[in-house]
Parts: sequence; structure tokens; C-alpha cells
Amino acid sequence: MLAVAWRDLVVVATAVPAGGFAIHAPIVRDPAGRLFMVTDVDAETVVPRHTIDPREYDEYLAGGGWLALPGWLACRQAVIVVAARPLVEAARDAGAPPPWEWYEVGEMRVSYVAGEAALAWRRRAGEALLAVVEEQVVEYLAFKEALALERAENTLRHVHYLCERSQYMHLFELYGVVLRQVDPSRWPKVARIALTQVPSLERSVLEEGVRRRAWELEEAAETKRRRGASSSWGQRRSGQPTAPPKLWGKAA
Amino acid sequence: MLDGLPEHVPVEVTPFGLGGMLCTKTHAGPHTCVAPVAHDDEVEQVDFTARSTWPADSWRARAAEYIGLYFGAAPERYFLPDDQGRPQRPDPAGIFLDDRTSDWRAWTLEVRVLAEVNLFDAIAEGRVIAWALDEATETELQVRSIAGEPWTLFEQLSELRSQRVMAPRFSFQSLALIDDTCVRDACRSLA
Repeated sequence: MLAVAWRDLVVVATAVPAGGFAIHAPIVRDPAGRLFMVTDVDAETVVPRHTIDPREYDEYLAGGGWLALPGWLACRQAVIVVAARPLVEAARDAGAPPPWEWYEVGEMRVSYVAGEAALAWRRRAGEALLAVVEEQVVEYLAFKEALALERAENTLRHVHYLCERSQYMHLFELYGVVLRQVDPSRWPKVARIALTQVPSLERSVLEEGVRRRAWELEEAAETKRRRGASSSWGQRRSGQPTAPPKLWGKAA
Repeated sequence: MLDGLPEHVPVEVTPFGLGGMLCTKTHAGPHTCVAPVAHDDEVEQVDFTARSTWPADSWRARAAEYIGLYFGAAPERYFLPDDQGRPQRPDPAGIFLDDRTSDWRAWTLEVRVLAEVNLFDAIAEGRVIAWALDEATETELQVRSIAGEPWTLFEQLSELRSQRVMAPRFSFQSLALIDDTCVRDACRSLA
């Protein structure tokens, strides 16, 4: 099968993720009108391996499984980033806006960017949102504002979609800390998910990580209480500027 | 990916993908159809497909024979992408050496399961060789589960950690290369 040059391809669509976020290879059209998914964005040229029947393509678009795009010129090593609007806003509010413009389709935001930039933003957004969760937990522990805890659980949901697997240990430790406050009976199920998602993770190591993370956040809350620091959560609600989020007790 | 099916589950197998018969017959260059048969009249296509369909009780033996005959002493070639895995010997219908046929699906075994497969049974019986999920779908299942929804099948799959093909590096080709050892061994014994 003959390969096609990247410059001859047009990005016409993307799959919509089941959840709120995905980094995909694009669906492209070549000069012969063939539609297919790119299977290797790093390749020098593209082989139209899995061609898509135009009727099938139309059905996917009509069914909402795929989104039509404006026809961007294809580019080697570029990927499609698809994110639900609330996730993009959460990342922006956490101080990690993506360094690109979005194409807006309903509640979805789509961009076609260099793969390395997409991965770097995902990592940065994950870190920033994990820091926000910690800030919210500290806020709760220091001042017992129930809303801060609710916000922490909501932010955890956002960061779960956005963070990469290397950040999962941190994510699940924070689930452990938050659920200990919200509803400890939910923790065993979440711990089981963590064990299936983090390679070679042992339950005892996870529990120790949660304990250490909880202790660090308790310490930060205690410091905050002693200093009589005003609630930055309260500042946020009142629209006052807040300091950038910090990482408390970042694991070595 | 499952290792075998229960005895009672009916299957039919062809040494090509049936989708390759759906050809517009108007293309000029290389395409994904099973030419030249896909360009014949429908009656001839139906007849060819019927004669090329292997029944459930003998398909494994026939598959081994097929790969042994057409891929010779290098059965690994069967798993090569695109037309790099093109059989080295001509077949009676002239598919393998037809210039219009440049797609691996024209010589890939297609096993069609004619009944529902109970994945819970497959897991319980230890017949799952490998599994993978789209990363976004898996994350969605995790988030829903944490929010309180049951995760049943996903939970059982998740606990098969050693069989998991980690996303996002999964591809059909990489999966095909690590499994189906029984077919590969059978091929080697015939070659």
C-alpha cells in the first residue's frame, strides 16, 4: 500500500472521548478522498491502513461519536487534544491554561497541536490541579469549611480525567485523604481501583502513602490555623486575588 | 483477546475478511477489496465465500495448514502490517498476487463468532489472554465507579493485571504478535 506525505493530508474529524479528555491521532482525508485514522503520528509518511467507508464515517458523525473539524492541514507528530469545557476551565483556574487556542464545538474543546506540547500541558495541568486539591483539603482541615471538601472532591474528578498515569499515585493518595473525611466506607473500592491502575503497587504502600499525605496536609493546616491565615478559599469566593497554588509535602 | 471458545459456541472462519467483498468495483489503483473475487458477480462471490468458509470443528487445523502452505518457513510474516505479509505463493483464486489487492485483510483469517460470548464466563474460566481499553473510556469507568456506580465487568478485567496491554501503546499488531501461540506452533510443525 502506497504511503502518503503528511502535507497531502487534511484533518477532518476526531473521536469524542467517552470521558472528558483524550489525546488522539487524527482522522484524515488523503488526495484520493480516502478517510482513515492515522496509526503512527511519528512516522515519516502515512500509510492509509484502516480506511473508513464514507457511509460509516457519516454515521459516526451523525451519532456523535466523532466530531467534524474545520480541515486542518495534517502535520507529523501532531495530535488531537479533546477536552470537555469544565476541564479546560478547571485547568485555567488552577494556573495551567493550555498554550493554544481551542476550536469550540458545543461543550467540547478541540485542538491540533504538537504531541510533546499536548503531553506537557497534560502533565502541567495535572500537577496544578493536584495542588489545588491539596489547597482545598488544607482549607477544610484548617477551617472546617464543608464547601472546601466538596470542592476538593470535585477537583479530584477533574484531575482524574486530565492527569497522566505517572501522577496516579499522587491522585489516589489524595482520594484516600479526601474520602477519609467524606465517607471512609468508599475508600476500599477506590483503593482497589488504584491497585489495578498503578503497576506493582501494594496495598500497604498505598495506605502508607495516604497516611503520609494526610499527615503533611494536617501539618499545613495546623500551620495555617496557627498563623490565623485568612481563608484563600474565602478570598476566591469573594473574587479577591489569591496566591498561586502550592504543593504541600510533595513526595520525593 | 480470548484463548478458545466454549465447545457449544458456533463459529465460521474464512481466510480473508468478508468486508473485502464489499467493493465498488470502480477503483483504479490498489484498494482494500478481495480482488479479483470481489469484482465477480454476486452469485460467484457467494459461492466462493461458501467454499472458503471453514466449519467450527476443523477451522484450527485448516488455519494451521493455510499458514503453513502460504507463509512457508516464516509464519511470523502473517503478522506483518499492510502488504508486507502478502503470501509468497499464489492461491487458486488469484487473490494473493492480484495487484489490486494490497491490504492485509485479504489474507487474514477472520473468525466470526455466531453467538454472544459471555465475558464473565471467559474471565472465570481463565480464557482471557489479553485485554485493553481505550484510555479515555477506562478513566470514565473509574470516575463513575468512584462516584458510586457498579463496575462489575471492568472490575473483573482490571484485576487481570498481568494480561493487561497498557494503553495507549496498544495496537492490534502488537497484540497479535504476542498471542495465538497455538496457531504459530502448529504452523511451525507443518513448515
